This record gives sequence, structure tokens and C-alpha cells, in this order.
Amino acid sequence: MGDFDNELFDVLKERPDKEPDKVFSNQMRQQLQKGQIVKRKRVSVATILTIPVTMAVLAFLIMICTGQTLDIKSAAQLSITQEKSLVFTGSLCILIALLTFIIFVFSKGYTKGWFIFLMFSLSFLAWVMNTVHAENQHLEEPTVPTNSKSFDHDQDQSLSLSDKEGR
Amino acid sequence: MKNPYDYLIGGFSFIYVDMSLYGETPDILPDFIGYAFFVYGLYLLPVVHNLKLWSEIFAFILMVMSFLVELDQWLGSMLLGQVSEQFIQFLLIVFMYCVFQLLLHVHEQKQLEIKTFETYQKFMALMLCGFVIQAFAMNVGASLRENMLFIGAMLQLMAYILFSIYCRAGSKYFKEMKKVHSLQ
Repeated sequence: MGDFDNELFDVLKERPDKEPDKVFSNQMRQQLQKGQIVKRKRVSVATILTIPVTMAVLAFLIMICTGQTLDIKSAAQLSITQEKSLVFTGSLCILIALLTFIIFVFSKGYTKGWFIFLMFSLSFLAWVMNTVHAENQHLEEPTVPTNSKSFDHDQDQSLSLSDKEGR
Repeated sequence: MKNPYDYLIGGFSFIYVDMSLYGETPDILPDFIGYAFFVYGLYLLPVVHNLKLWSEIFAFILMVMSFLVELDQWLGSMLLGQVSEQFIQFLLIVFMYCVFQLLLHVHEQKQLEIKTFETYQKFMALMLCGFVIQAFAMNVGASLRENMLFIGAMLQLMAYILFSIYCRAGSKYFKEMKKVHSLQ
């Protein structure tokens, strides 16, 4: 038993343990404590989002219960021309921003990484959004007869009929 | 050994150029043949890299997809429509990005490597800008749409010319290398 204890003691003496870095651990502890204090002070995103959502739900419930309606829908709507020009300006700005970004990425000479991924995904997103918007526009637009000949022909016919009735 | 750059430029020509007689017959230079050229051209490139295999697979997938689109047009069913063509165009740009990444690994000659990098920068910027402009052209007035489509097409034409010039330089380099190897 005594031999075994001696051997164990020798092994323990020779093991390559290092002294704990007290300075490092103290710094770490201080950082963690500071972090905890900051976390306590910080207002979380959930809190910021919860308050307006709760208020909106309460307002909605009150509106339904009292039978009130808010007639501000038409006030928020823009006239068709204004809306169109706004959409056009917005899309033009996005297009210019996207083109500038593409040129910036390639002029900098990036071959891989976050910028390349972002550029491809933004281009793809722009295409998808444009396709969806174009599809919606086609659905919203009423079918207008474009053949002027047929329109004139119909008009002529109606005119000739009215002339005959007059006679 | 066959020259891979000839196949690459041949493939891109088939994809870029659409020829149909009086706009009524189907495309004489179908895109899927271009992608088949790309598969073979990439196979011939003297490089051992993971990206080579992935690019070949990508080219093969594009070949199948473009064949389906062409078939759809030939049959006149138009089930896939214009959207599928534009989607394949976007995939082509991503594919060309992969091809350039691979080409950047091929060369040991400094000059050609610089040329590859410069072509990559200009080609990709022109192709993507052209694509984005054409995408936005869908939602503008008829007169402006024509202009935007024209600008997009011009940018892509410039990209095509740049790529053909690069392939010519690559082809020259490949021939020189072949001569050196035959002398040795």
C-alpha cells in the first residue's frame, strides 16, 4: 500500500498541470458581471413589441364590442396617379441602389463570401418581386378593347341605326 | 487533346444567340446544346477541383431544364411561360460565376490569371446588371420598357463579347501549353 501511495504521489507530482491564470479569470468574472448588469438594464425586443400589439388588440376588441368603425381608410389612400409615380420613383431608387451595389461588389473584386451571397439573393429577390408585382397588375387591370377598328365599326353601326330610326 | 475554351465559347454562343426564321420557327441554336458543350468543355479543363464536378452537374441540370423549356415552346403549350426563361437566365449567371471560380484555379500563367479575374469582374457585373434592369422593365410603361430591355440586352452583349475575347486568349494559351508538352 505504501509503495502504491508513493507511486501515485510521483505521478501526481509529474503531471503537466498549470497554475490557473488568476488575472484572466478575474477579468472574465468582471466581464460576465458587467454583462449581467447591462442585460438587466436593456429593454428586450419582446417588451417593445408586446406593448403596441397588446394596445392594438385592446383597441380592436373595444371597437368590436362598442360597434364603432374607423373611417380613415380612404384618407390613407393616394390617388392613382400619385400612387403610380410614387411606385415608379421607389422602384427606380431600388434599381439604382441594386446596380450600385453590384458594381461595388465586383469593382472591389470579391470572389466569395457574404457580399456575393447578398448580391445574388438581392438580385433574385428583385426579380421575384417584379414578377409578382407584374402579375398582380395584370390581374387588377381591366381588359380594355385595344382594337380601334372594331370600336369604330361598332360606333358607325350604332350611328347608322340611329340615322335610320330618325328617318 | 481538345481545346476546352472552344467548347466554352461555343456553349455560351448557343445559349446567348437565339435564331428563329421569321420569328415563327423554333430556335435553330437551342440552349440545351450550349449547356451540353459546357459540360464537355468543363470536363476537358485541366484542373482537379471539387468545383469542377459541381459545375458539370450544374451544367447538366441546366441542360435538362432548358430542354424542357424549349420543348414547351416547340409544342406551343407554353405551360412554363416567360418566367421559366428568366429563371434559367438567372441560373446561367450563377453558373457562370461557378465557371469563373473554376477558371481562376486553372492557370499557372500570371497574365492569363489576371485576365481571368478582370473578365470575371466585368462579365458578372454586366450580366447581373442586365438581368436586374430587365427584371425591373416588367413594371414600367411600354416606351420605357423597350429602352430598358434594350439597355439590358446591350449589357449582356458586351458581357458575351468580353467572354469570347477571354476564351480566345485562353485558347491561345492552351495551344501553347500543348506545344510545350509535345516538345517535352
